[in-house]
Amino acid sequence: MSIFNELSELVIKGNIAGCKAKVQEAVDQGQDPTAILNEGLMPGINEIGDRFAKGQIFVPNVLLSAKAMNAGVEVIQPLLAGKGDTTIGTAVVATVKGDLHDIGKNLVALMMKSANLKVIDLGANVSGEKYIEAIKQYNPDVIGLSALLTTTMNEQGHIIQQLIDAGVRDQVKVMIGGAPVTQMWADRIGADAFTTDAAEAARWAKNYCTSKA
Amino acid sequence: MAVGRKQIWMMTEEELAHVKARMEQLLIERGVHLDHDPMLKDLAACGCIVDMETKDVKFTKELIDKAIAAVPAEFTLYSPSGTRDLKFPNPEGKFYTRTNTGAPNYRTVDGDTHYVKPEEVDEWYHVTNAMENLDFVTLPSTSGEYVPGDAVDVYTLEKALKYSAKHIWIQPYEADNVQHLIDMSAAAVGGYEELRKRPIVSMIACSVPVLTYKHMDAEILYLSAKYGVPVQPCSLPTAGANTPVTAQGTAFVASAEVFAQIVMLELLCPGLPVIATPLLFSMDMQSTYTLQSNTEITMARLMAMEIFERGYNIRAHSYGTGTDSLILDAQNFIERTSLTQAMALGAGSVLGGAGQLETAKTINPIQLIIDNEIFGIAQRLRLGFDVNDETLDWDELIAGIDKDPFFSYLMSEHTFRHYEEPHRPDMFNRDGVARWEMEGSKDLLTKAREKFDAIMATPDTYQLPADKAAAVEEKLRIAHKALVKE
Repeated sequence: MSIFNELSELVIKGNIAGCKAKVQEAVDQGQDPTAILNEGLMPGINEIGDRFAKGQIFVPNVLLSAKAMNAGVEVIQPLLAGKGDTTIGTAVVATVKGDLHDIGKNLVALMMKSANLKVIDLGANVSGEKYIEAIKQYNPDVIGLSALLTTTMNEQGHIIQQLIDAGVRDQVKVMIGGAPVTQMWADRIGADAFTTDAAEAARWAKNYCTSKA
Repeated sequence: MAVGRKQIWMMTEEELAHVKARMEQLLIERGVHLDHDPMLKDLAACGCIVDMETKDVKFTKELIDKAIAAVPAEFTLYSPSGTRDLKFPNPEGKFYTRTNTGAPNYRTVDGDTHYVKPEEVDEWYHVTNAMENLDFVTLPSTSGEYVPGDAVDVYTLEKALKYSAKHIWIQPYEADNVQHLIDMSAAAVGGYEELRKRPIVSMIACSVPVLTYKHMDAEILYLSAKYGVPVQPCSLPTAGANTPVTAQGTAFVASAEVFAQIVMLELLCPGLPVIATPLLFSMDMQSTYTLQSNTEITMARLMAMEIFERGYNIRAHSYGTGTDSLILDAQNFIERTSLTQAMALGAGSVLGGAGQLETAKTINPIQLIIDNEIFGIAQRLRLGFDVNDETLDWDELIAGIDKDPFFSYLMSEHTFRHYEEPHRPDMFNRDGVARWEMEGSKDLLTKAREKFDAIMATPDTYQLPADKAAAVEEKLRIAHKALVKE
């Protein structure tokens, strides 16, 4: 088995210490850091994504594998400096103003990180103004608006209108989610994507970011 | 019927003592976070260790003991109609039941699902008034599309106060609304003192795991203590998402969060009626969906009920029905029946969730009517039975009266004394194929629909007297002016 295959296996197994050590070993052997990332770590995390999509593994498996991959990336990060960010895109996520429920939003953030997105989590009870500030500051590819209540889902529409008014709507794709939210609601308020769960949200964001690249 | 109750315990005495000690240790050493300055000041005045900067509160063992000693052993939740007052503990040994709270969706009897409309709230109370095995009600979550979004709860409470014959459990949606909800409730009974004496409403306050109380919920606790409105303090954790993944760990955290609310309430208002209400969920580790009906969480509910009922002699309340199924299918009825029966054999005093499906996100009147039926069966299980010579029919057996060739148990004195005892669910089939086919081959859903139609064709049994209704409307107008940003 090549060292790249070994790295993929360690990511799949979620072996954090083993992955870190193996990446270091690859570096010591003189392997190209970009190859370590693209031929060793990424195939592992992609395999985990496929297995999760097929319902073969659980969320903690995905998170452990992501941790293992990140441990490996930390080792090669200094060597990749100047070659750009290793993540595939940036997402800003939050629960909208008036709503303090954050379980769903937290899950989306975790799953997006596991899909190798950089995630800016603004927290709960977040206003349109804060989203606009974050768009200007972080230049994200996607933003996620979470709402658990019928009383707060209207805020998703308000925020999209605020993005339009501020002239930043076209800079990002807007994703919405939450228990009362539907595709019909997404269409009505002009969101780009409605996803039914955190994993699907991560897949949608990943597909969008990679299609942009 | 004599009570010979049999009960499931989830913990040994040693385990229960351990959980109690840990729960109290958590309140003493870690404390809680409470976003409410006036309440923090009042708790400090009661002797709690309060950090006004961080808004953290810690308790001493003495304060915890004092608070728990103040919890009333007996109390009554009153009904607006006066016909369904609920004495705790239930004098018959039964549990009480209530409808689901917080669902944004209504599924009509014809199967159309949408956000809850005001007229469906009317329909809901018409049905709940007619359910003999349903003891109190909640507020359906009327959509902000039909009433002002800032005042959904006050508008829905107006309907509950006018049309529900049964005690009302209120879930406020905004901190500013709590006072108005109490004002409206007081108006319905003739004033604040009358409400204190005859509370026709009780409140929901919820923690945010772990051990955090946001401003709205702290306001609910604070004002409920001020006005003497009973509270059924809740914790709604999701195992694996915001509490430990184990059922035991989640039951423990939820119980600690509810326990802390009870301690605070009893320090602020000694003797206030409280019902511990841990409402537990779990996260599916594959789909990440929140589940209401997984088996371990049912066990966690039993454990949480036991912590309060057996551990502290405090009445406890949790989900007693519900499903993660999206429809009225076999999964639905397997889940809700097994949950109801397990909880009926547990320690809880209140079983909730009637009428819900889709993990409490949708309510449906047909489901409610069937839950009413399931509750009837579960109440029979809860009561248990006595085992003695009379119930064994010893006298007739030892006398050998069955040896008479003309004897039939149909004619025995013992049968005459006991034949009415078996529980007979209203809508269940107890006949052969021939008669069933003759009567239209109806299944349970069809019979439930017929029952619904019959209920709706009959005038409602209750309406708030006109003078009180006018007083409630006046308070609603004040609330609207104060809360609704036009």
